Amino acid sequence: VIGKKNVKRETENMIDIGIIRRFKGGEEEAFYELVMKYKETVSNIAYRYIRDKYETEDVVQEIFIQVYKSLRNFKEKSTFFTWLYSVAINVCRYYKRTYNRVESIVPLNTYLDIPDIRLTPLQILENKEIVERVNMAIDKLSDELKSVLILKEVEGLSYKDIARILKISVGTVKSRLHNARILVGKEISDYNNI
Amino acid sequence: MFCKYIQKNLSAYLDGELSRVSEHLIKKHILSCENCRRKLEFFIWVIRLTEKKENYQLSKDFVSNLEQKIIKSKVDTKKQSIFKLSLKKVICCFGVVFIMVGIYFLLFKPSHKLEYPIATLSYQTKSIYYSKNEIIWANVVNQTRRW
Repeated sequence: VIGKKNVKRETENMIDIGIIRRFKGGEEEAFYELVMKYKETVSNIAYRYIRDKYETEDVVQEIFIQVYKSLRNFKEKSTFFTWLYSVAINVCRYYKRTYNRVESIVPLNTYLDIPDIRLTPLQILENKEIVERVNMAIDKLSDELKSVLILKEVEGLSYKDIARILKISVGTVKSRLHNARILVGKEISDYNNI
Repeated sequence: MFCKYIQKNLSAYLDGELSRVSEHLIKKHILSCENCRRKLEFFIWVIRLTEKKENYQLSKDFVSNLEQKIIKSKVDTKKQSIFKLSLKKVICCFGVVFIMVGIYFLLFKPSHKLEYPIATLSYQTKSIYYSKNEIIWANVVNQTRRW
């Protein structure tokens, strides 16, 4: 499975590099092809990081503006998606640091607004509460732990890819993810034995 | 001791990031250790809670808004670059003028003799060194200034 995934990634990267070369050659539309391809992934990462429905869009736009400005300097040494994700994480971190304002008034758990008909109202309420707790627990994590957790849970990236994006070792990714999960779990439950 | 090793690697085990040997060791250990099994269940529970369950929906005019912002940022950077360029030009011009003036004063010193002076002042300066009412050394200079 990992081998197949790698081949897919390689192929995707070759396609991306082709698009980037077209952009470097002066074809502006090529950039928007990249935007269309990656906007969902980038927005999911940003939303997980920012946790604000309205501000996420601005942050995603900022990420793509930064990509546009520095795409001509992309030297094809790394895969495009690792480069893009590192830009996304850096912009989100910068945004959080600079505009760390009062928590959003908008409810964060949008996906639970669609109730599952198999669940009883009590179960829905409990679920909502759990999601809120999870969001709060992730928010409480430090920047380092949060970035690793988001990249793993949102995109399902391998430890190697996360290490490349955050410019840390695979061992550090492993320990950070382990710690992040323990902290989130502890925060949600009263699990104090670990 | 072994439990500690297992528990440290449970998260990576669930992500499929361990070697086959480590995976085999963990599988074997979990079957016999109740405590480690409970911790594995805890990690499974956390992963289920934190994994992505939704897709954030961007607005329909996201791309057009982005396009406008990019055009605006391009104009801004152009303005900045024009200002930077003009500042550079001004500094270069000042530098060239300064160097030329310096060369002029170094090579072509303006002569002190003016052909049609407006005013002329002639004066004499004396410096005399006395010791016990005797002149030991004296210097007399006649000078003329023309304007």
